[in-house]
Amino acid sequence: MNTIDIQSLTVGYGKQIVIRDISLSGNIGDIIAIIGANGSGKSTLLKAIIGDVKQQNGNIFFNGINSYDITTRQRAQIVACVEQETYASQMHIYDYVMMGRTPFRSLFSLTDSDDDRRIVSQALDTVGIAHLANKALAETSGGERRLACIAKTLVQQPQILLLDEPTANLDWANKVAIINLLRTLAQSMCLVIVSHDVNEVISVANKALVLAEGHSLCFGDAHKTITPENLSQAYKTDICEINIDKESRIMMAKGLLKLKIEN
Amino acid sequence: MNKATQYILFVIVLVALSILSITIGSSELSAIDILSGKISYESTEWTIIRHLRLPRTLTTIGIGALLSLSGCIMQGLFRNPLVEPYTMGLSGGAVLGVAVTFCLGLQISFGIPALIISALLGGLLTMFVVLTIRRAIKCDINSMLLIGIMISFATSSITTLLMSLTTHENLSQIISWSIGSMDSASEEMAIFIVASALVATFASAFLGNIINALSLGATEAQHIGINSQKMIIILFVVATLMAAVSVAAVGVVAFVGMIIPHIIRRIAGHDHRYILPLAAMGGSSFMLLCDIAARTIIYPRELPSGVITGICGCIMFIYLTSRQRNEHN
Repeated sequence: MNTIDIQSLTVGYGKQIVIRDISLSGNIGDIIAIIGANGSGKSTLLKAIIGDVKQQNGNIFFNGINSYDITTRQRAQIVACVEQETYASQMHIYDYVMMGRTPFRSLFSLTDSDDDRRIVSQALDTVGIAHLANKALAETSGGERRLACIAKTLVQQPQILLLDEPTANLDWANKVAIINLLRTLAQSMCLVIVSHDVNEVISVANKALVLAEGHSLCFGDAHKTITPENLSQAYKTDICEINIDKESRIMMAKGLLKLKIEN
Repeated sequence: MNKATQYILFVIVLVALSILSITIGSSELSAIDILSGKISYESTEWTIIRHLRLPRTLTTIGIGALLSLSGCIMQGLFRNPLVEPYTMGLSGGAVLGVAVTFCLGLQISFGIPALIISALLGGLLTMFVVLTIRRAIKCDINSMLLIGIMISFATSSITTLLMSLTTHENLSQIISWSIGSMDSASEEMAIFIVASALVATFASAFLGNIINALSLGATEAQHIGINSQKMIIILFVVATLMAAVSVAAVGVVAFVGMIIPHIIRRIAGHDHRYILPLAAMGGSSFMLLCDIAARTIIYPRELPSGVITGICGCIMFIYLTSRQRNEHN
């Protein structure tokens, strides 16, 4: 029984089908990268897993339980999602992270339990923003808000963590910090990452789903699926592989290399 | 300032203003005499307190709490400080409901319950129209504010149409009711309003968690296990009922639902479990202050409290907005 199992999933908005016949599976310890060109259906797949859009066909199983058979609250106890943008409100980071405990406590509770407070403090320490606990979200940088959002999902104690462009718009230091954090988190959960940055996911993912125009081009071991051939087909441009050493490689669009040489 | 101190301060201010409200009027009463129990039940002073001052003070407290709670819930939902029952068109719908009652003369046969029921129906119907339009055009929650403003214009136009078609007697009744004056507060109405405000304050504090989650946005709230669509409708209904009860009692009192939650958030943060009771007390205190001002500014004549809340609210809102902008800069 897999932690997440997607079988022949088809999702669309009204009559417009966005992703068709997608399958993937993962377990705790897996980091699954979903890559593809703009409009290939990456974010829609993530939305289907978290329940933001209804599936038109196929099934999503969490620990063998069909997503049709669980409530919003039960889903939130299994799956959490790191959004691309966090609303920069005046809410303090501590209170924001505490919101992640919502699926586990009474909706009508008037106070936070000691257990909740301990879990929140632990999550703030894990992502390294304990010193920002009393700062308003609006007073923090985009990177700090992203870390706050990750902390909020950690206190949800999910088995599956979805991340939509987790390092978008961040500087290199913040990107490295988040990638290292994801490696640590993968020890206790299954991560599903949507990213435009192929090289970033190469460095962290062990499984990959390559999407092309809403179809699954391939799914499996990241080394075998993230290849210049598959990427060229998915992105509709020539991609080449540059090997840094035996373990490290990067992918680059040939057009960009040419530009760099010409410049 | 910690939470307990804030609560204590708000209670002290509310009690002090309540006593002041009871003592002020054409016949001056001593606060010390009232508090020490020197006024006998047979005296004229007691009659004034029992039948005039207390109903007025209690109604004012209740109206302030209901409007402020309604605005606080809506601002939490919409993440927009401009939202209040008035801007969302709910007060306008309730006014229309009551105007219809006056035009049909139902208040003569059924009294206060007719006003309350018609305001509730008017408010709920407006809410239903806003939600139906939102669903039909599939807009997000922020666009609902624009729909609300449009509906507000529409209900206001229909109310004006009714007023232009009805008899002079009905017209003067509608006008004297709709200007937001507290001087006609009856004992029955005072009990109903205060009971409603108490229930609303306790109930809304228990809804604080849900409002907190929805203040992150409907999608993010869904991700932490809140059934956003269902909860938005429930909270919208709750906020509408609060606003409609207030409209039924004293007509339109603008700005309280906008300005008080705004100030409370600046003082006490953003946890709705905690700020909703503070907003209720803050709204009550602000309304009492405005009502005391309405009674004393052009003494011996009185102004409608709604006029004072509108002017004060407007000035305070401009001041706070400019201060907030300066802080950002």
